Amino acid sequence: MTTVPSSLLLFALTTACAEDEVDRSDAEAGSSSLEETEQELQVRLKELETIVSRLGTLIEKNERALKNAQSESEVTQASYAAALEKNEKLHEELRDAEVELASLQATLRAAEEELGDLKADKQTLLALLDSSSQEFFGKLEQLEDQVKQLELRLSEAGFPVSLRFSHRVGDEELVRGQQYSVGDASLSVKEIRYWVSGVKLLGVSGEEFALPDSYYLVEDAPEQMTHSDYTRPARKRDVVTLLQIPTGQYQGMEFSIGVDSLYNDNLSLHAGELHVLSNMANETWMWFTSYIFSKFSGSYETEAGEKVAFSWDTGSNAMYRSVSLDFPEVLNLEESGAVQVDLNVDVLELLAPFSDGLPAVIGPQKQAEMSLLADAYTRAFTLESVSAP
Amino acid sequence: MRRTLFSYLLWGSLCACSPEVPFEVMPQEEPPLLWVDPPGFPEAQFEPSNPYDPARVELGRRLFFEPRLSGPGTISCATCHNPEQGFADGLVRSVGASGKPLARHTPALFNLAWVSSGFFWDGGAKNLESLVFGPLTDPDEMAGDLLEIAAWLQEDESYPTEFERAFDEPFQIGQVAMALAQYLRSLVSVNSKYDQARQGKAALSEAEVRGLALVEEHCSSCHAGEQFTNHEYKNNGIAQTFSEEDDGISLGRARVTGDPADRGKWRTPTLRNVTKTAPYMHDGRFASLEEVLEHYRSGIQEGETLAPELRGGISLSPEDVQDIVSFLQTLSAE
Repeated sequence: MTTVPSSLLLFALTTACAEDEVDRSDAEAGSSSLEETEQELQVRLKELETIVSRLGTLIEKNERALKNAQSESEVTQASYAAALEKNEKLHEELRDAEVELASLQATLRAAEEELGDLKADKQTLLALLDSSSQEFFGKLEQLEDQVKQLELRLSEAGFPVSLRFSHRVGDEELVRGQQYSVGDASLSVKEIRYWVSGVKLLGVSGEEFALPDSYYLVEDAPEQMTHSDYTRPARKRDVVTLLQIPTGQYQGMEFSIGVDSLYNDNLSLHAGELHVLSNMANETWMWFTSYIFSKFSGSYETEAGEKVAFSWDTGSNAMYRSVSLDFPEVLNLEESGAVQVDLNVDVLELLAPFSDGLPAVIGPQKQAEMSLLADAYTRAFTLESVSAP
Repeated sequence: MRRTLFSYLLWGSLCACSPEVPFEVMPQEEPPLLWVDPPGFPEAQFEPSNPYDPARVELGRRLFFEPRLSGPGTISCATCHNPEQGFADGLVRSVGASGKPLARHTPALFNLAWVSSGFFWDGGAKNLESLVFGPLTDPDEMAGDLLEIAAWLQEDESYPTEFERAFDEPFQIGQVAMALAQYLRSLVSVNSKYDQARQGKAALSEAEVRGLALVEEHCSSCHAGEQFTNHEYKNNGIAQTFSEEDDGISLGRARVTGDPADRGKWRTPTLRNVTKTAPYMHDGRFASLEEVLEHYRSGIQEGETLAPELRGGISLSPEDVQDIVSFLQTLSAE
């Protein structure tokens, strides 16, 4: 510190005055010590002068220091002012920056709000898009499914092939109950019924198409009584329509007379037209576990006038027979459209094995005759024509 | 009525339940959820088209006791196959709808799930699913009309629901046979003294042990295995001529096969419950086991198709006969 504090200066002056008052009262009280007092005073004076000189020096120093301090202070003040000014400027800049910041923040908030709105919009749009696309794809899938199903149905349905079984007595059409001349004998047919099953179409390259569950009861039968109040009405069924045959080229067909062992061995099963209610399963045959494969009955009068009422059944797995027939020309089922296959069934073939005498009954206890009859059925079927219906 | 897995675990313990029933039969009140073969029995025979189903067993049980299945509306399967008489009727020849005595004796029905060689005394039914149609429709038995049955079953108050529960497809008449077949398979007899002795839970007497040895020595070529039958068709020498009349009903197995070598051959019946299923043979000609054993001892009628083991008869002392009868009693469920 370059300045002398004023309090110190004041102390020095006050002390000097107080010592001078003490010396004066001593002179009044005793004269002997005057010289001593004078000397003492002289010493004090010199001391005071020294003090004054020192104080002067000090004051001078102080003043110098003060001056220095003042000039320094001026410099400092100037720099302070400059600093203030700078500070002011900085503050100003800060304020500007804050204003800018605030505006930026406001902008940001606005932007955020906008973004939020956009996001919400996007969400809404996405949801919309999602549901509409789901709906769209769902519909597309449904339509594709429908198309597939239609295509499948189209391919499955293909074109119907109708089998028409014309029962004949030689060259004549069979009418139930009518008399027919057979050489010198005569024949009247009461009933003919048989299962046509396991129908297959034979492709040109050796492949086979087997119709699933193909069990058809072909019959020309009179009214039949059951042993309750039920009566089965007369029924003529001679056309079997085969559906769902794949389009392709076929050279022939095959079917069986009777029921395959899988179904024949279990009377509780049912498939296609096959079940025990068709009057092709009666108690005689059911005690064997077999359907009746065929029934053929009527009367036959020999030239000698001997009349035989005959009733012939076949049944049991051993009597299952197949018939294979070639088409006159390759059948292209796509080009042909619907087709009717005309089959002749000549009942004279069924009589042929028994030229030595017709048995009245063929049935489960007549295995040999039954076997001959089952074989005869395979010869009774001939293919007449394949044509548009 | 919830079926529980627990129920089938009680197979052995719940069987001997009703005191009126001469031997125990399954099913219990509720058929078990799963089929389990009793211990020591082979695998039961199920048709692939009709796997075990408790709902079908229940429906089959109802149909078994249903007189409306018959023509006159008064005869059910249980009329001749009476549960209280071992699912038989104890008669030499039963009488059905026509009032005419039948040609054969009503066989007892149990442990049919282990038979794969056909049913009836001559095996005419190839499986239980096909068995019902003959007795159901024959004018001398139930004289039922399948068309009529199919009609009223579908119009009935409660049957349609039960058929729907048992089968997932629309009604067809074959389901009647399938349900009855399931019920027949559920008739199980398993808890005899013999079974208990085999499991170490009972001891056979000395006479019974001697009887078992005699059965093994003289009878087991036909009455073989745990069911005491080989399920085959044999001529046991009860006749020498075989009528072809009546659709060959007296021909034996030959009625079915058409093979003359099968004439006079009849199903070997199980010896289980044999003391309770008199009379004996396909035509019920023997009233007692003693008569049956006397036939094997002294009454064999020789013939081309006679089982070779029986030629000259079986040599048995009166004590042997006593011991065999003692043993046979252990085969009856208690």
